[in-house]
Amino acid sequence: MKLNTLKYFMRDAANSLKRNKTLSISSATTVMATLFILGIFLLVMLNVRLGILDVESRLEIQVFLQKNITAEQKTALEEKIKENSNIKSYTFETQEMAIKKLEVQFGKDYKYLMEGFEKDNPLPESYIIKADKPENVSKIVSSISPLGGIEQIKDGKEIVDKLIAATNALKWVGLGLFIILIGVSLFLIGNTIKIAVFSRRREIGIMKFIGATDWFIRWPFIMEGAVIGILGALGADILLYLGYKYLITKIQKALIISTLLQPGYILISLLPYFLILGLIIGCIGSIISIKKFLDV
Amino acid sequence: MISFRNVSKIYNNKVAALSNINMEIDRGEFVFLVGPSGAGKSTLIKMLLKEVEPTAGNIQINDFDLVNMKRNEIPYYRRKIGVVFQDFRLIPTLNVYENVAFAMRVIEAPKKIIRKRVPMVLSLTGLSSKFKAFPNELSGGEQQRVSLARAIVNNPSILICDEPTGNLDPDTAEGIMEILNDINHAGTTVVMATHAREIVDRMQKRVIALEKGMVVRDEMKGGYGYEA
Repeated sequence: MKLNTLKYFMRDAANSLKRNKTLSISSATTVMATLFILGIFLLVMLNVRLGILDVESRLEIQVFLQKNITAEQKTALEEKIKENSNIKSYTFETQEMAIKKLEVQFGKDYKYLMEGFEKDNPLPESYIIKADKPENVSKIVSSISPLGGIEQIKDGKEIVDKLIAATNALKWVGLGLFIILIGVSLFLIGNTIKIAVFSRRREIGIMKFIGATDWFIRWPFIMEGAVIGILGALGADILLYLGYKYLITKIQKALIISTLLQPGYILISLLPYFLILGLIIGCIGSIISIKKFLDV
Repeated sequence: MISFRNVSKIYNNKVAALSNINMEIDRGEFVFLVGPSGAGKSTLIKMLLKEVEPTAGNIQINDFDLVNMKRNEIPYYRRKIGVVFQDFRLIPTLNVYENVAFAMRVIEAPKKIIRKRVPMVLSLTGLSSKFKAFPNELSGGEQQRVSLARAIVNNPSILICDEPTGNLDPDTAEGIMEILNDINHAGTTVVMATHAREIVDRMQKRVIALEKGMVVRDEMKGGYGYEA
């Protein structure tokens, strides 16, 4: 494509966008809504993944002991822990320590829930073990679990599994919604372009008679669709950034969670993907709708 | 140059618009296509423009085989022919100069050449003083001259005219015919479908007469031949 032709295409596309301003804006808004919703799901998912990584990186295994564990079983267990080279450190948590920890977690307001615990402590004793590497957690668990006197072994795996199950469900909901919205976006962009093409069908007819190729006729309309898609993507990204930034400052004030995704990610890492996606939606939307007007 | 061999066209309603047309038109000829409405003139013109496919037969124009032409070759064929319609078909949002330059831009001619060629063609068609005017500011004759300028700006070897004087008064039509004659003298083949008896009778060019989809007369230096 020659530079002159490219300039002509761009001017043509710009004029057409101006002519159908309202429609162009509404299509761009649809693209924006589509990508915005996609962005919300993406952010939730990414944050959950960060959370999972965080849990996994804590490398903590808690081995709860049976009430009636024998002294021999206890020493055997402790020996096993001591000789395991994958264990970085371990502490023994007595029933009293467990109660104290629970008290801290519940806080003053819910202290009444634990009334009577002092007399008859239901909490088990436990070993809290730290592994040296995340991948060694399961090795440690399997070396300990055959021993007697163990009530239950808890590692981060359980929480991680639950989180993964939750995000999987979310993933499908997000994907479904995204597909529907993409359909709506394509339809609306297609419609906008169709109206642009229709209002210039005479001109297109003339172009065909003087030897314009199909692509020469198509390009300005594709550019028009692409501009709509890109504007929508840009809008979605900015909106997502502002919304997420606002939300995250609120959350971080209320809870002390350090592992949340930083808002800058949206502007830096997410933006290129959004732009490409917007571009693709815009181009496909227009290509579909020009097709039937080209047969002269 | 233009060769029709046993060309027939049957539309969906099973009426034969053209049946078994054979004709040869040589380079540099000026040919009138005459005949009553519904004789098949429009179908023949549309075939020349590769707008309508024949049901049977072969059409060869210059090096192009119109029957077996691929879709993506059509634009390149159309660049070799110029076309003028009864209703001018100018782009209303472009001025005279831009309308003519548009035809060159579409085929991606270099800007330099566009700037040289367009004023030349505009002076040839007597439009030099009007180059900034928009189509709605022009008379019918002037509009048709713009469309003529557009048709020849890319140096076509064939000029196809479908009732080019149909919307014009006799004096104005006269001016258009003069330009067509000039173009023909410069070497361009001209094929013109028309109902204008006086023009055909006076110009004394080759006349091909169609009736009910058949060639009923083909004579050099012919006249219109029908009683109006």
